[in-house]
Amino acid sequence: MTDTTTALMIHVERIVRPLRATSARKLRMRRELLAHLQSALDEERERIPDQPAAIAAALKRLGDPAELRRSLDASVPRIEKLFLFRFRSPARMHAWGERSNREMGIEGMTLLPTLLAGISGTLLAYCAPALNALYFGRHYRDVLEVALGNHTPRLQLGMLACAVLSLAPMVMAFHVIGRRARAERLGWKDAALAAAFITASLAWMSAAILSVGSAISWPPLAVSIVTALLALAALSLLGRWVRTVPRPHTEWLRLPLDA
Amino acid sequence: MQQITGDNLRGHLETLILSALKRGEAHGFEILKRLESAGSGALALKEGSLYPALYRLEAAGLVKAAWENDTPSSHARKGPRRRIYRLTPKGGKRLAQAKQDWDLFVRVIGGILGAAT
Repeated sequence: MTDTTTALMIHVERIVRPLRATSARKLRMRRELLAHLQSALDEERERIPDQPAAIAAALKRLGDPAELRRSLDASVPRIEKLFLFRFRSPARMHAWGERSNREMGIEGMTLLPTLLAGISGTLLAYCAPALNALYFGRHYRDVLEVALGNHTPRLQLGMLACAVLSLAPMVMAFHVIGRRARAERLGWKDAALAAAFITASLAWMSAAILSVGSAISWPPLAVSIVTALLALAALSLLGRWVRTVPRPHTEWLRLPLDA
Repeated sequence: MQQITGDNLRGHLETLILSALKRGEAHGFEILKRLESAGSGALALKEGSLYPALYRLEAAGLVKAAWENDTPSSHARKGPRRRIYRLTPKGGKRLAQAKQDWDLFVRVIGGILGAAT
């Protein structure tokens, strides 16, 4: 990418970035405005030999950036703006633009796999009592009968505990996928999160077993550890895949707008 | 030469774009060149204003757009890809209607002002 192209891209990005629109729409606007500026610059070069002056003339032809931003904003469908609603005031415009800097960045790309991994991880972790039931016979079915058959406080507590314990695999998924997507090695934080995941699923299984009056034995712990390790491996692979997905916005989002 | 600027063009830009596209599909810059050429240098458009108008026309189904490399008539060129716009049948009808409305406007207002008829 040449310095000239970068200068044109920065001008376009200052107009487009603060818009409340989907990433796809903004990318289209960026590309069209850039193509237009490039053509305008080619014309200006024939008229003005001085490169910076030719760039300035091409940018001027596009019109006032604030006015163009308003016009582009008005062309975004209301339903889309509503979908992307975020509380903001004019004073927060800059900060809002900075936040949208993350559009389709690593975090954005990580969100969907994280949700999928978190949900499937949670299901996997909390299906562990079902696996456990295979070992112990009737325990899990008994738990379900107690919980679902009678609307006792135990059911509410169980739901609450499940929701709280679900945070562990969810946080672990987000963290591990994010790190692997940034090509970072897994460290002690990931180990701590995996331990939290193991503890959470173990707590859930123990509660399930205790609720039917049985003694806790080692197999639930083994199931928890194996589940956590499998989840870690799957999340790591998912993170590596996220890294390979092309992100067309990246070159725009890395532009030094403050320079 | 006195120029027609953005404020005076407001409300007419979309019809002008439809008219430019009647000559055949074109990307934004080419549409601008067609308008400038048809206006004999009297049109002073803020070039950026073309795109919001194109987006509105596309949303209304009056024009269709495709990226340059996706259209059969496009050819490989250096630089960023451009989006090629073409008039839809609905856009053609709207243009015909707008021309009729404009003729009526010119006849009536021109008559009042004593400039025509």
